[in-house]
Amino acid sequence: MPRQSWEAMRRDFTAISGFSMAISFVAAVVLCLQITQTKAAPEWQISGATVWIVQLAIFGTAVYAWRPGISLSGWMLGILVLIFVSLSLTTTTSLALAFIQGGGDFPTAFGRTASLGPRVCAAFFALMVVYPLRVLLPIRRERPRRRRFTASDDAAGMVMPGAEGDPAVLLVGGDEAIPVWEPRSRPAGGRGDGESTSISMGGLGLDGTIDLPLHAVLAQVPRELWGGSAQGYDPSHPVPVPLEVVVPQLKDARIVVRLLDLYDWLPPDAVRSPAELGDGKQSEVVLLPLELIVPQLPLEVFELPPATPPAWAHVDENESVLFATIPAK
Amino acid sequence: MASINYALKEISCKIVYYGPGMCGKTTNLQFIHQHTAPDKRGNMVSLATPGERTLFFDFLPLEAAQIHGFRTKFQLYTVPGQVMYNSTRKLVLRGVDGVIFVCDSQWEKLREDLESFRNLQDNLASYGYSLETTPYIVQYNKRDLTHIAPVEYLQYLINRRQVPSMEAIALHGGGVFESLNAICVRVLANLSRKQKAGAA
Repeated sequence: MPRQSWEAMRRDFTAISGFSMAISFVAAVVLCLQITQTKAAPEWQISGATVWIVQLAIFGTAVYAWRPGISLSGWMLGILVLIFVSLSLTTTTSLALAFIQGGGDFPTAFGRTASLGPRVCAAFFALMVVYPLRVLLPIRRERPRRRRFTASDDAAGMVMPGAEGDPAVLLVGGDEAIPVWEPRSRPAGGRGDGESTSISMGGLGLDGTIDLPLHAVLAQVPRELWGGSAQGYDPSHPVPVPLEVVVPQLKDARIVVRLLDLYDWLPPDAVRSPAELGDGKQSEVVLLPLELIVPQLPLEVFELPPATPPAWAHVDENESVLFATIPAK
Repeated sequence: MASINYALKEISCKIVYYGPGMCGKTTNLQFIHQHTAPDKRGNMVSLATPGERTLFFDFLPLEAAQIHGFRTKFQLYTVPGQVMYNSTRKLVLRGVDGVIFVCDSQWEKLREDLESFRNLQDNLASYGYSLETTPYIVQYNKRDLTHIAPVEYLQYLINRRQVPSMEAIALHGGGVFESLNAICVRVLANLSRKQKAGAA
């Protein structure tokens, strides 16, 4: 179990929890003794196996209800602990009974506590004794959700140092993480050979490329991933980025590509080869400079389809509300 | 919701300036406060940090011209733009009559603009409101800076419903009163439309 989780669970198990366990245990023994010493009512004809099955079912249900998301091992551990405590209670009661009866033999005392009444009592109190321990039962491990936004510099800048705010609400994170462009096909010959295709939207199609200067692209790539020739190229060396990558992402105000895809568009050895990068780095994403991309696109790209304005948008502009203003100093 | 006091012949509406952090919402309000006749405005209440970040909200009561014998009063609010203050933003939106969505035109702020706009929609939805029924306009602020996105792209990002939008330089007052007038006209028209529909 990770050390941090264990520490967190230990924090939940307080001294009061331990005290309530001890009190419950003593109360259980006293009550079991009382039940054992009362004139035995006629025993119900329930077999020992049935009692065990019912007891296990109750213990299993209780452990599951106490700790939603509990792991299988945790669930079984919880049941075993409950059985152990239940048996401890009946054993302690038997010892106490033998002692009270002035050296009466233990097997006889144990036989009396094994009847239905004391067993039900022990099972019920076992639940009470073990309840505070539920926080120590391990739960299923889930994959941590990545929250890109919180890790970004943008988000860091938006949070005041030392400020206490509402419980953090992340506008982007987890399932809303940035969609990364998936290539339909690799641009043929697009290895930074300088033969960049001119923009041909072709009725706003997605054919063609736009050029970004090499230095602007490399600025977005972590330095340790630069290839040996990265600084040998002319900083304005054109990097052709396919429009099919750019246009669908415009509505998100960011253009993101995988390092692996970017490698195909960069000149040779500008970044380290995919073989050198390893699996972890290959899936790393790179943010392309939007401010260099948007101005290169024809304005038709941003034309919105005619929309029906909401009903409130229709007003007579002549009926303007005039605020009483004073001239600026 | 706007309140109409027939005894005092007074209409009171709530306008909220919404947008990402540091986009100029408080600057809008400060300019309005500074350039409105003292007898037509109340005190501006502002709770901010030393770094000029709005901590809770800004509030400015404002009185406009009489309409059909009714005095119109507008309560202008801003929301804290920082991501972590969503509960406050939500609270300020309760009973809103109109929204001025303030965009920061700088390239590096576009993503925050977009997220803030989505957050506005979500928070309105939590009260059962929507931008289809709540009047709003879009203000593209900081147009005097050099590193800014073209308006066409901002429209494409934020203003898909193509509601009224205007460029602004809130620091110098450009577009500030234009935005306020534009939203107030729509809020009153919407109110009038609702009243007529209710009477019918």
